Amino acid sequence: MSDVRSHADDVRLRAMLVAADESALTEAYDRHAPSAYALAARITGDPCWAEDAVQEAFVELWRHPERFDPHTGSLRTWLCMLARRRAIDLLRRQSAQRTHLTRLAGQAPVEPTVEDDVVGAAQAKAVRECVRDLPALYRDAIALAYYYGLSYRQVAIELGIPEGTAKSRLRSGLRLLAERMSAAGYVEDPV
Amino acid sequence: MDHPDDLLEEFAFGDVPDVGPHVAECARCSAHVSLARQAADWLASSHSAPPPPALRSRVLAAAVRARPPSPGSAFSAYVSQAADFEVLIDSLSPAQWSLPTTDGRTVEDLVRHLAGNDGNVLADLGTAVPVSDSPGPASARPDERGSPVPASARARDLWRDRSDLLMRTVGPAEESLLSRPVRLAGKTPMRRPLREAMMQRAFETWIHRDDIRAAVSLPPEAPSPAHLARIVDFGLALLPGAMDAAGRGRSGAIRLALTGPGSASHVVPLSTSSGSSAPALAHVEIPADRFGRLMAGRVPVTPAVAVIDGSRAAALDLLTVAATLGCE
Repeated sequence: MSDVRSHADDVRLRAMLVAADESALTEAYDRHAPSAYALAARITGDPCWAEDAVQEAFVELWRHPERFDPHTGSLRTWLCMLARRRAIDLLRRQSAQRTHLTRLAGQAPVEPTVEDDVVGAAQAKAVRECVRDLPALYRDAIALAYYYGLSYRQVAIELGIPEGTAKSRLRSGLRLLAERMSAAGYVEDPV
Repeated sequence: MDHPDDLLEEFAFGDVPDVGPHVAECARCSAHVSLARQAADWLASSHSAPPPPALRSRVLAAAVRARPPSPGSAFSAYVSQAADFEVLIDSLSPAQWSLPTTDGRTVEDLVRHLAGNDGNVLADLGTAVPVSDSPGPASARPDERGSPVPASARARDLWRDRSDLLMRTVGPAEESLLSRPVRLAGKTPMRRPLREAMMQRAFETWIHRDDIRAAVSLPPEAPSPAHLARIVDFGLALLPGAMDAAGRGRSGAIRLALTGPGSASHVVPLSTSSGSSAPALAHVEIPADRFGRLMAGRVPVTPAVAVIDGSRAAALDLLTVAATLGCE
């Protein structure tokens, strides 16, 4: 997903954030806000909520940068995780869960968006294609669990299947996604 | 063993952190989480969309309301060295942690040594210091196989916990804190203002990073020119006092020309009783990074170590004492 240099950049940014260096926050925002915003917008389906989720994610990073460990993943992934959690919280607060399947049907998470980084764009395209090519059963399970934060039980209810089936579909889908990305020559962060 | 099987993906996606300690100890669950986390990394990278321009200033304003930013860059050299040090030790294989360094201590020993000296500064500031590497939130992380955390990883976590705490404590420091005397590292007990101590922390972190690089057959790597210049400035400020303490203080000064990245010209008094306007007894020219390593005792003081014009005795006296300014 990234190279040794981007890992070093993440470690450097983390240290500067711990030291309360505001320039590190602006750098992190300029680099990663588009990914976090795209994810939050996809989850909430609402630009205003997406903005709130992104804001809360970056404020959380600024308040507690020690919680980000470059050893376990990239800064972009960490910020996306924070934005995802906030976006899901917002959805829950708005009691919007009943619209999940409607939303999935109308907004499959494979639409391309603006990319300004050629390598990142190629990788993002590969991910989208991998997700698009997953069997629909797996794709729906991943979408409900990852994008909407549903538990196995909730996924099973939404899809009308037993819990065990929901679990195996999610695991199989995630495994298939990781295997296909690896087979396509993309490697995970070197951590 | 009961496995939190229903929660592993949620944990990997950043939810239900309570599952962490189990995952840290369980190879089976760790493998599941690793796979799900890898897939989540891909999913997170799949889309990008520019947020509205006004969001940037809104986010930055909200952040600084929640936590004030650092008022200056008094210790940016330490932050930079700590980051470089972390990147290096993260790249080491388990076997490399046991390699001997230049003075016989292992890589792991050096990491713990640095953590100890960072802890001394924190203690002098009255900050509660993480005292050991017993399993805690940071050290509970599993390795790739979900095996128990090895001693080297605990040493790494101990160093990083203290380094984090040091940066977090000093980051928002006002002038009153930066002026507070704290211990310097080294054989000779000495207290200096925190501002100077942080420069020494940068100095020591750089030198031990290079010690570890040498142990794993990597070439040395100097700090950025600006940080190198500030580290050398820190040492030079101590030098007249060190000359006196070594019984070599005398009237006069040395003109020191540091060349290459971090270059600068200095007039160094040979005693605290000599001012910088004292007559120069010699002119010494030496690359700045070599002088920094000489201060750390990593470059032997030989007649060929620098280009000397004028009193060789005075110049070599200065270089010999400069080579004692390092921290062990």
